[in-house]
Amino acid sequence: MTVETFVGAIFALLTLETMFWLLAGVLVGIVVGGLPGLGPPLGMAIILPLTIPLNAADAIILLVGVYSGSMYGGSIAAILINTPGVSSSAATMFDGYPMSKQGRAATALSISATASAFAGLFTIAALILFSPVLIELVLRVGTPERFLVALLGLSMITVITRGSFAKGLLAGFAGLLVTTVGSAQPIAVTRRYADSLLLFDGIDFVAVLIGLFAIAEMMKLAGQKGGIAESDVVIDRAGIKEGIVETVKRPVTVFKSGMIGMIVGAIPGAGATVSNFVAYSEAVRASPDPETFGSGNPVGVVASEASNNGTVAGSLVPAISFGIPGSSSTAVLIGGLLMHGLQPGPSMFQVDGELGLTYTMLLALLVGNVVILIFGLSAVTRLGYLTKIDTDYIIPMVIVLSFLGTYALRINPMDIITIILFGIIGFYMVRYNYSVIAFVLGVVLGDIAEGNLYTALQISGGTYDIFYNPFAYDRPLSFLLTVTIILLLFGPLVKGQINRLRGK
Amino acid sequence: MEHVLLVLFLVVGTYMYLGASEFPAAAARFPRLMAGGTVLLSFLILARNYLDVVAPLLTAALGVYAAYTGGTEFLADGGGLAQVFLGIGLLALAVGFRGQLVDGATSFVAEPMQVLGKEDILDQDLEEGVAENRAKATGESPEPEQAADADTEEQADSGAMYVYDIDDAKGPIMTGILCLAYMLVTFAIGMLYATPLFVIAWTLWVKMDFAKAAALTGLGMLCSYLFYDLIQSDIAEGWLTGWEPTPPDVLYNMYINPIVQPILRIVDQYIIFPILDLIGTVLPLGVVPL
Repeated sequence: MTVETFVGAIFALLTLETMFWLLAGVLVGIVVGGLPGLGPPLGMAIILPLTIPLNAADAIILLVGVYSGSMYGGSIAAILINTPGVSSSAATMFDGYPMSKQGRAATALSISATASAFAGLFTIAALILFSPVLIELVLRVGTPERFLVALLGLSMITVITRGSFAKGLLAGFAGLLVTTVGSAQPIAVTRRYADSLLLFDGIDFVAVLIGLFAIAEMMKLAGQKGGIAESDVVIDRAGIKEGIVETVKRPVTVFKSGMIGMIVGAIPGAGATVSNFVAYSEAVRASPDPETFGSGNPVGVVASEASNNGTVAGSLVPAISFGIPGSSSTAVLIGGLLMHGLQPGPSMFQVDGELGLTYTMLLALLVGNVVILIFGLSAVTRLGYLTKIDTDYIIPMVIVLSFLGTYALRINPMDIITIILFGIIGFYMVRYNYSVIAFVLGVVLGDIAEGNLYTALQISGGTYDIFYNPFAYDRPLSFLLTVTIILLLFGPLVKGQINRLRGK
Repeated sequence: MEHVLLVLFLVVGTYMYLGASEFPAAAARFPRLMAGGTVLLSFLILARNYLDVVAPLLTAALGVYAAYTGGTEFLADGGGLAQVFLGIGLLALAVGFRGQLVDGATSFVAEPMQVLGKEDILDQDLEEGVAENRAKATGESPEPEQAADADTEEQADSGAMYVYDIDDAKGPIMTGILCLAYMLVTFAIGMLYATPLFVIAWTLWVKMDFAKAAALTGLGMLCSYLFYDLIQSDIAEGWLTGWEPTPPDVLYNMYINPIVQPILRIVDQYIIFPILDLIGTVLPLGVVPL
């Protein structure tokens, strides 16, 4: 049955319309990733409301296309103007920009396209190959465990987040609190605060996402100088072949960095930025000439770019399995799933559920990487234009699209208020080091967490020991998850104490 | 501004905690838990400079509350014993281990900590070596380079978090004000015409060239018209006023079309139809001039 579903997914992908949306998504993603200051979550958040007229499969394919494309697009600005289009390309700058200064910009860009595409291809292929095991695992997880997995995701983000632990937790709690306004679906009750009709339908998470990622980012961009590049870099077509050869002759680096990206990407909150540095660091460690890194060593670009596209596959695992976003981009992707009536979790892996769509999405990413390769290599000499677009043009258009997209969804004035309010809150949260992704995770997980908590408590007759007593309900996994959460929550405190003792 | 943000969380959390008491018990549990957490954490961060006093007091208060509610429950139906023990434990912690409690609270609230930070990934020597090599390879002095890196590093330290510098504080403030104005105009006249007005205001703020400003405004108008025409026509109506200004397609039919029509007829009669005639004569495609 699974094989039939897989074959069905191939046919579903190979329709003209679906391929068009995939192509459009990847190209939009490359542009969005290439524009300094924008990035995958912002691009996906703006696209999100525009997917309403599309069917669920095309909408999700468009979103994952943007995600994948922008991962590659981020390297363009990193290589050409020493500013990462997205933070996940930060390590690309270390060697990509020196290569540009040495007149090897085309080589660096084609390394980026090739390494991104190859790593993206094999990590997605690996995910498809291992999907039967993943399906088995996800289907075994019950309601109490799903609630605990949601908590685990939140705990992971708060400990991975840089800065005060309390700030990370506060952001998560505040995000969860947002979801308690309006309809409480599992209980079939509407929670109305202040008898406000505007809040009757709750706070739309799409508006929250757009506020946090689009409006807050545009406010930030409006306060920063140097949005455009006076790039004097010459991009010579002759370097393209050299770039391909440089990548192809380093299959171990591509494979290792891609796998690092995939594994780190599956950790909620870690994302492509962390994997980027881990892969780069590993490439330096394994190199026979580590002293050449930072001066234009192609291996640095290969490692960095292979890892960030590998992250896409990894981050999809917790996102579609449990609804836990590995990164801001997957948070928007989950938003897309929910907006189109799809619930992340076991149904995404059931043959009579949405397994077909899951396979179509993975196959779309596979094809998307081929598009990245073809487009990336053929447009190398033109990519510099992206870095010259003035932010004065970008900001009003992003705001306009955010407002139009949000308002057109429900014609609810509250949504406009929401994007402005959360835009301002998001701006200051980032400014003062409060984890936006923990907040988003709370917003995305709220309904899932509450629904599973409610059902679990119904099973246990209202007592919480279903989550920690391994004998009472024969649920050892619940117990293990609870222990892991406690360890994660107290781990940083213990680490701090150990560091303090070492200091003494 | 951080205090404003925290006070906002504190006030909203408190309001929602109290407001949740009006919901049925099952519907109130989750919001109360979340609102309670929000209030507690906001308060702790707000009081981070006074944790040596606040932390023991708060722990003791929580202990008393847990012991009291647990005790009440125990007397009523025999349950709540765990809560009583928890309360007593918290009280003992607040009284007997005050120093450790304050240290723990300070570490929890004020100290930056990260399990998978960049310091866990890139070692200092490697980082410095790469920075030196970059400075040599790009011919740029290491100082500004390092400054740029520091900015990026801050952004890149964690996938979950980055901070940034603002060069011009007026930019975000003005963007926020223009967004608010955009919202108010939208509520008055609908988004169809509020959109180009917002773009005009933006181009005036950034002092854009007239030609570029006109092009950008036209693009904004095109976007809003496409949304109006293809996705949702209700965006043209002002929510507060109920007023829907005449949309561009109606304006076109009322004013522009009557002027353009005679010209189009002449173009049809003297250019298009003769060409179609010619094609029809040369190639029998079945094209019949109207």
